[in-house]
Amino acid sequence: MKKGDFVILALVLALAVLPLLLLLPEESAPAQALVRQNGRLLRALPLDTDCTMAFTLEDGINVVEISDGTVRIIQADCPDGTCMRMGPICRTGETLVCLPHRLTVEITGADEAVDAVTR
Amino acid sequence: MKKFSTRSIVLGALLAACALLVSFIESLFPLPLPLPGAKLGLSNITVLLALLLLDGRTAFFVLAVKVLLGALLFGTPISLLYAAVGGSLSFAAMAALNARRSVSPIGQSIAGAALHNLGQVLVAAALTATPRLLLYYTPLALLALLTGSLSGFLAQLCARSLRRLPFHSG
Repeated sequence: MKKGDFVILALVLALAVLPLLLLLPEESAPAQALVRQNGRLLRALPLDTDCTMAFTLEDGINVVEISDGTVRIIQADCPDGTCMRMGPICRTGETLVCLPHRLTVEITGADEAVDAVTR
Repeated sequence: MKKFSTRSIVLGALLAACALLVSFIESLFPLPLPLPGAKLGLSNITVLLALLLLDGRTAFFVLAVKVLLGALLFGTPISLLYAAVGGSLSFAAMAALNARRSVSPIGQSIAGAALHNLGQVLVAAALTATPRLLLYYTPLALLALLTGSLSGFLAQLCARSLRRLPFHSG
């Protein structure tokens, strides 16, 4: 490791933290899961009521389940199935993504997705 | 356009073949992490080696073969988009840092890995029109520090050994 390597290391760390600083401070609405397709809001589901809802899109189907304040995609017919392995999520800013169907499920207004803050 | 030397063609093709092999083997062992898109990125070693031992132009062709044939063999059109954007950003960073005295291949590889992830996250955010997906960059970039160091270290070892071989005249 040389001197410049540590400069790169510091830059990457700064770049890694940047999205947290820019995107985390958000409005405090009631905790809900926003289901979007192509950025268009399909449905806002409150996290405090358990429910299972199927979203039929032109590319396929995604079934979103809310239980105990956490959200998962329990069923999807996309080729990779990555969205089903991403959950469950429960904190603000956490997001489930199904890229083949361009579907995202994002949490707003819940606990912050920060483990600790150092000053 | 200047002609490629026979040495560049042969070694570049060898490295490109290695890149595909490494990509394939890596695709068999996904990281046991809840981070889609996270991977060791060991095939980047070959692009880095091409930069270290050959030249930027040849390295770019190694990258192009890795991205295009890799997508054709083990990928999807969407994964091609990720690999192309991530690969180009990563290559730009590694090429810019190439042969700088203050930067070792490890730093080069970390920068490459971090920018590869940045490309992936940007593509995901653009495809889904969800800027908040950029939050996902934080864990990916932290992981890139580790995986980037690992592949940079391995590339350095390979480069040292390969430079001792008789066919390495340059």
